[in-house]
Amino acid sequence: MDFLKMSIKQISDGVKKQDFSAEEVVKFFIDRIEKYKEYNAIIEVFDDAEQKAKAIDEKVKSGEKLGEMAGVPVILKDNILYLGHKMSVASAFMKDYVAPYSATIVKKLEKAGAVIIARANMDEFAMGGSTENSVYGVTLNSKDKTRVAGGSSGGSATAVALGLAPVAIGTDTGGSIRQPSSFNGTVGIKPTYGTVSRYGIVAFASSTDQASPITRTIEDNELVLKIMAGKDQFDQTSIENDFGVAKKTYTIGLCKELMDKIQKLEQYPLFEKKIKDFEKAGFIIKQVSVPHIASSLACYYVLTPAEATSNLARFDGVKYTTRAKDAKTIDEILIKSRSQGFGDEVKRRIMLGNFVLSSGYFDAYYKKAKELQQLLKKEFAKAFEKCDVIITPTTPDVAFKIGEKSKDPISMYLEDLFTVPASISGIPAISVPYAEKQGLPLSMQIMGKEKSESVLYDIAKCIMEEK
Amino acid sequence: MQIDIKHLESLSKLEFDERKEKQFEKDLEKILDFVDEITKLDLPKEDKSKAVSISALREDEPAVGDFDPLSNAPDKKDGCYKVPLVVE
Repeated sequence: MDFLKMSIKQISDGVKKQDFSAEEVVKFFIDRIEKYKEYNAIIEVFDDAEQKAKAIDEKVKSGEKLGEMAGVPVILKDNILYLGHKMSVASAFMKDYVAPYSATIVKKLEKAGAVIIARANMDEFAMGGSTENSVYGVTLNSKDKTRVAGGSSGGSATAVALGLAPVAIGTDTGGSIRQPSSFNGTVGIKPTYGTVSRYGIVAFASSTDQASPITRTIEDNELVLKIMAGKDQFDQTSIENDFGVAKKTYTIGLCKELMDKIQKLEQYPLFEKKIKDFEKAGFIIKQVSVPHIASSLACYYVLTPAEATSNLARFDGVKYTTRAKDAKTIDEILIKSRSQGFGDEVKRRIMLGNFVLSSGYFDAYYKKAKELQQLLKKEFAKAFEKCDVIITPTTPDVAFKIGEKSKDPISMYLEDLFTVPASISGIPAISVPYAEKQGLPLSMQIMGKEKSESVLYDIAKCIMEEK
Repeated sequence: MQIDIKHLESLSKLEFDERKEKQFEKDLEKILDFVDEITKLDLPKEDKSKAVSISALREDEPAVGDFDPLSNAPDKKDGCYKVPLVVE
């Protein structure tokens, strides 16, 4: 049976009707993980996966009612807790950590019948845009082994593109689902902030972190996100999100302040053609203004390091698995464990966060960035009075070569140009492949107002169907 | 932008050898030049008041979790994290 050709719904229905077993499905995908090992997308296949699949089959046989993901294999990014299983945030610091409980989203996925089969590679602590900052080494792009997978959810995106599971869960703080999805030609969404509970996910920047599915199709993506969504008593920022209502036709906004940047991109003729296709299909295209959008990147690289520096203070050599062997005093435990445990990019962001929060700089950097964040939220809300969505490319270009940007942090940060505005404003954004350049995928990003995921999925479908 | 790298190391509870320290100093100065536009923005007044505030928190209640928070501790004793003597 070729489960690669099946949607999540078809797999789940097939398992429930006993056309095939969950065990067969899980074995099929675990075999593929073995076959595509050289891509280094997967850190570990969980050895109880087949056992868990058998348990699903038992439930089916006993007539128990199962959810919408019966026997569907799921890969988790390595920053999501799954009870009794290792989770390392791709860091030397956390290599031996075993999750003492499951994240809320894992519980929800399992309740729907999903089988967690493996954990995927990522940039350490989700900081990076290439999955080159991992203690487990670099993940290769699914379309070209000399190029990066993107990041930080690079393992998850490469895994889905290679067909190692129908869905992998990633996390997105400033583009970490959308950018690797773009580089691998998968579908990735960053939902409205709060849609998905953050309980049991290692915090990077709490005010923008969201977990979400990476899939091959829109239909699969929507199905899984709906299962993951919902208010959670363990995450005070979580919300109920009804995803809004799809319409017959849409007004598509092009952001005036980004257009000169977009027009300079090599992919612009392809992007422009797609916009014309929208017009032909009866959509209205309109220029809209988000006056401060170009400052989003600077805002993001002040706010998120500040939050990261606080969130990562808990890694102290006392609570989590690793303590420097040569440390004698409590201060030495802290300093040596952190200095030996964290990689360079994580250290850079901790230092940067401490700078913008430190006395004498707090008002000029952190407070100012928070003010700008408030303003951007308002500017987006105003723009969405004139249009349903705003469209940009997801990334400036196709996946770059391994090593090309790893020496220069700024060139890596510029990758996030189009993805961070939605993150700091809390609005949903989806990345969907729209074209190819020399065999490598290019994606479009569709941003919408809060709780309008149904609209994003609907427009994304138009893009994928026409492609 | 000039930074005091030693001060940042101390705030961050990190230490570097001399070569790494130089590299980090250079990197951070470049990044701060990159985000510098933030400091120059003239923002409308109404966005300033609410920007940094504590969101509404639920009532704090003591609760016993359903997991052992010490399960990953590198060193523990009698239900506590074990560290070297802190106070003489």
